[in-house]
Amino acid sequence: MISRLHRKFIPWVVAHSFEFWYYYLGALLCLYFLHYFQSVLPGLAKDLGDKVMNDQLKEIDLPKFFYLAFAILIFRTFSRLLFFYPARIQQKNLRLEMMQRLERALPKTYENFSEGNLFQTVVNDFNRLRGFIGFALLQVGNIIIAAMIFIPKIREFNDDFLIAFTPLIVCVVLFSVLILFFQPYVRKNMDAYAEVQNFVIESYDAKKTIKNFHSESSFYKLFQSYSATELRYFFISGLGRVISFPLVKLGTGASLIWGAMIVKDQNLSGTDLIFFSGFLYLILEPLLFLSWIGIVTSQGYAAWGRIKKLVGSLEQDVREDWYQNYKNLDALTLPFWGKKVNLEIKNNAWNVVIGDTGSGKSYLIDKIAELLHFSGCSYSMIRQEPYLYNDTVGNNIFLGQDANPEKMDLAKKCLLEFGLEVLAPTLEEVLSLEVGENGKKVSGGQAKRIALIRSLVSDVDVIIWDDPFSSVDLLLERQIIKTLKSDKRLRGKTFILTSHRFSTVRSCDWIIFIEKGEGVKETGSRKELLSRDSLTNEYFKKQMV
Amino acid sequence: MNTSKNKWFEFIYIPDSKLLIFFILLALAGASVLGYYTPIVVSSLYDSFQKDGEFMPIIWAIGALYVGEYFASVVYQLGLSRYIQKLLQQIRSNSYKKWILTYESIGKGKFGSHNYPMGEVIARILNDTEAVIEMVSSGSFKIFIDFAFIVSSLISFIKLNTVSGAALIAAEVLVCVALILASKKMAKIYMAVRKSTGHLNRAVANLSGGLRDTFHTPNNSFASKASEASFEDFLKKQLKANVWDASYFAIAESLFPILLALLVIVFPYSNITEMAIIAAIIDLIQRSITPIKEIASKISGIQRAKTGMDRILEFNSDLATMPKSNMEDEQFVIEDFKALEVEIFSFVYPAINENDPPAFELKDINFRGKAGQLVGIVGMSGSGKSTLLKILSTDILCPDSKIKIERERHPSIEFQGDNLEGIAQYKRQVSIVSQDSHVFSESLKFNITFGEKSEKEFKEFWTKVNVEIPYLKKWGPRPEDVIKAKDLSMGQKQLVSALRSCFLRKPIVLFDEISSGLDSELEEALRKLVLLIQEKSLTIIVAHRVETILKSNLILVMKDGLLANMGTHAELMQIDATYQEFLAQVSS
Repeated sequence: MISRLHRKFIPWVVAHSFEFWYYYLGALLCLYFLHYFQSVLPGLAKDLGDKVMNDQLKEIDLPKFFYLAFAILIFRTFSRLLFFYPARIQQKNLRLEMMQRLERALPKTYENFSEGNLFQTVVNDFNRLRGFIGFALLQVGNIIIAAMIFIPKIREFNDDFLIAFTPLIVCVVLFSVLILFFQPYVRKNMDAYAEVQNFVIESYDAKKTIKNFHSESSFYKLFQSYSATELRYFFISGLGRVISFPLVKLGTGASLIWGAMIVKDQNLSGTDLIFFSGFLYLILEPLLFLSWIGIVTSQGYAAWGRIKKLVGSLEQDVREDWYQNYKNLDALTLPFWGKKVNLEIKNNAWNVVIGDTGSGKSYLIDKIAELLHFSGCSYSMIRQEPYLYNDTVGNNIFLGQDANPEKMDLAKKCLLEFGLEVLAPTLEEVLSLEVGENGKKVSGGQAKRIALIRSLVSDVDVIIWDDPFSSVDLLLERQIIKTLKSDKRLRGKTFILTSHRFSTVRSCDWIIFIEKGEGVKETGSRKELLSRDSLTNEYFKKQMV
Repeated sequence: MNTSKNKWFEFIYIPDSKLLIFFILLALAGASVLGYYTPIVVSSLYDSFQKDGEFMPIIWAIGALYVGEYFASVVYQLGLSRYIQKLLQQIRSNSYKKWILTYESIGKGKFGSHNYPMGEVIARILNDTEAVIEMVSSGSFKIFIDFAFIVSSLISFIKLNTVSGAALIAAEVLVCVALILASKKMAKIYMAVRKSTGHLNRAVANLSGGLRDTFHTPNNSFASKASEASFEDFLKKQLKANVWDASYFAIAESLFPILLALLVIVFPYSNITEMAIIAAIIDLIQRSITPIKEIASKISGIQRAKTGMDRILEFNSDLATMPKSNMEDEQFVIEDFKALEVEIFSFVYPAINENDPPAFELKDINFRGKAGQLVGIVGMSGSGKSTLLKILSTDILCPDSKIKIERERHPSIEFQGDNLEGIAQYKRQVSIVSQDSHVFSESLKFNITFGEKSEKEFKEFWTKVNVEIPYLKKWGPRPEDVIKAKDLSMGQKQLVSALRSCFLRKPIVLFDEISSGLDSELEEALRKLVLLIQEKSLTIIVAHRVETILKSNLILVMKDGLLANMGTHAELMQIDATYQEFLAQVSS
């Protein structure tokens, strides 16, 4: 895969143009021919007037009109297509590269980006970029080539006519300035819209609660104020357009009047004014897009800035010094609660980290996972509230790996023993069951168990589970652990769990007891720690009171 | 047909906006008048080149026409934007109001299973109105004033030269019709693009949502591979749309020479001899091409907005059939609550497939609790305790049940499970504290008060709970601080919801205790709040810890959907095996 996202904005635009140079060459040629044929039209219209006056109607070459129409049709179509195509391809490539970069990056590197941010970037920012390269390049080319062809044609005819374009150009500039001036409100409008949307989402989530307290009217008022703010920005952002857009027509009128004065002063023929007005209308379209070039470019530039911010964030080096000292899990030294802490994890055994909420259990196993990642070990960590893709149970378990019969068998066995067979009449049907958006069609506990099976079938040496059985009752927990311990395919794996449940701890071999601000307070085998007067024993006794 | 038209009118009419409508119509009329004079003035301009003395007045007249056109356009667009602004506020607010007032619940019954998923609600309240906004911002409404102008220009030109005027009108109408017909095909293509955009958005949201989670597990590049597929699909649809789009607009662009050719073809019949007439008609062609070019795209915009409006209408009339509360209703909270008596005869979850046996049945539950009492519910998972709580909170409708509320100074009220209005009334007497109680991204105060009751009452309440519950000070946020659900732990969310239930007091409070993961201070704070709530209300709690129910007045022991036993802790310890099993489980 070629990397494109490492570049700065301008170099990227240049690289893009070179990457697709043959498209752009063709596109520019098409634009040239389009404007060339269009520039014939004003002369043709003038000619028509002249022939009417001189009664030479028979001499008009009718087919020529149709040839011209056809040429305009062809060249206009292809000039657009040849500009849009590379932009679309580029958009796809960039999006894919972003997804791959995200996938490879340690989640810590983009912890400041919410899921909404990621979505905004991958969907909207790349769309703005596409708009920029597809549209701005086209319109810049359009206006340059139009000027190149039209100006000599007009000068050839009458130099003074060129000056008569001044009012139109002034009005277009004014129009562009006004549009740019009101542009910030468009942004504000979008933000306000997001807030209204957010409010509806919150109302949805809380509808039961709202109705329960009969607070509909407070929420109705709040909704009205959010919506009114958004609509106010909508109105203000539209003001610029409302005032400025008709200016262009006004400018056309003023230029036409100027042209008429020239005709009168220099005693030219009225048909010369027809010629002039023909160019007036031809130049209108490229001119009108002038302001959009500015807007689209600034949007594209801003989008590239946001994309680069994310890319830069992903490229941070988050390796910590202590990773280098890693030799084996049973002798780790790592920073924890501001100190260096020695940690001993038993290989090929069930380890459990216990401690109160907020004692740093999740942090600790996160660090272990990072360490294993940078040391190239094979491991699988499942967090407290794992994410399920909107796909089937089977795909969520295997995540695209080829499921050989042995693994399929393991997965099915787990589904059965983990109490997931209730999801559908047969195990096959369970595997092909769609879990819905963010796993909404299964309960939180079921989603978690599906994720646990994901790590069991993944061929790793170390399995790390954060509070795996919190939503499972004690009987089912016992059954699950028994299954896992007895299955030959899972022998030789190292399990690292966190828990604060006695029932879980009772099934583990090795206990690590941690405390907030203190670090590791106690480490030892289950047999030892539960039989003597240990902190672990005391912790569970306190829990039972 | 007629009724739907009436509805439409009601829908887009805003009272108190007669002045706005007047200005909009005035601008339209103005544009028509200006359009009428334009060909006449333009042709006299070309005539005046030969005649001295007439030139300057004509120049002034042309200037006046253009300035007039500018102002007509500005007034029209301003008036329209303002009207749309008001209209959208009205439509959205009404839809939101209607939606928030309806009850939604699962279970059997006439309206039982009826509810809109979140995406639908957002779509109906916001996205559908967006089409109208888009119309304003893309200038779709401009087409009306442009057409008023062009149509009267064409009519006026007929007087100058009937044959070429009529031919031009016929040709332009034909072109418009052709473009509109072709736009049907375009609409289909845009629709496919929109669908594909939807797929892409969903895929990106779905896949980027899981990146963090599947990083630390072998993931075989699942997310990027899956996203590539949706990017490819999107690209294909887009490129296809571009081909159509580009050629469609190119056709409109090639109209000028074709219309000129038309002029040449009708020359033998039109008897045009003056250059002024030729000039006026060429001017007219040039003016009319842009509106014609835009007609198809603008009409599709209008079509889209209309579909959006239809969908909102449908949403609104759909909501009208659902059971709902009334904003003007009194709170109707029973002041002199004495006791609650619950009788659930049977409740069965609707089976997913018709032929399947019922998944689970709750049967013969009967108990009574008084104000100031604490009732605990215990049982293994799957015993039916959550279902019982959901029925008590009316999250699940259970037609085969009866709930009686006894009052101190009034006769008791009975609520039948199949009487929706009664259930709605009963619902007002109940609040629920659970881990999925919602926390709004608003101030802590708003989260507790929901905008109800006075400032003074809240201050008193806040001082009191701060004395009783030291955890609140330690926790941090002041009442004015905006809190974010994602920054709160499950326990803290439950705390906010308990504070709310304590402040907006209800006779009956249901409490779903968190099974694990609370630190001791927070646990203490919650227990304290239960006591505060219990002072005046009947508190029913699904318990996961022994100490929660040790002192309760009544414990319901659930097993396999049945009420296995009930009594106090001391009693149950003696006689009930299920209860002992529960105790053994939670403290093993």
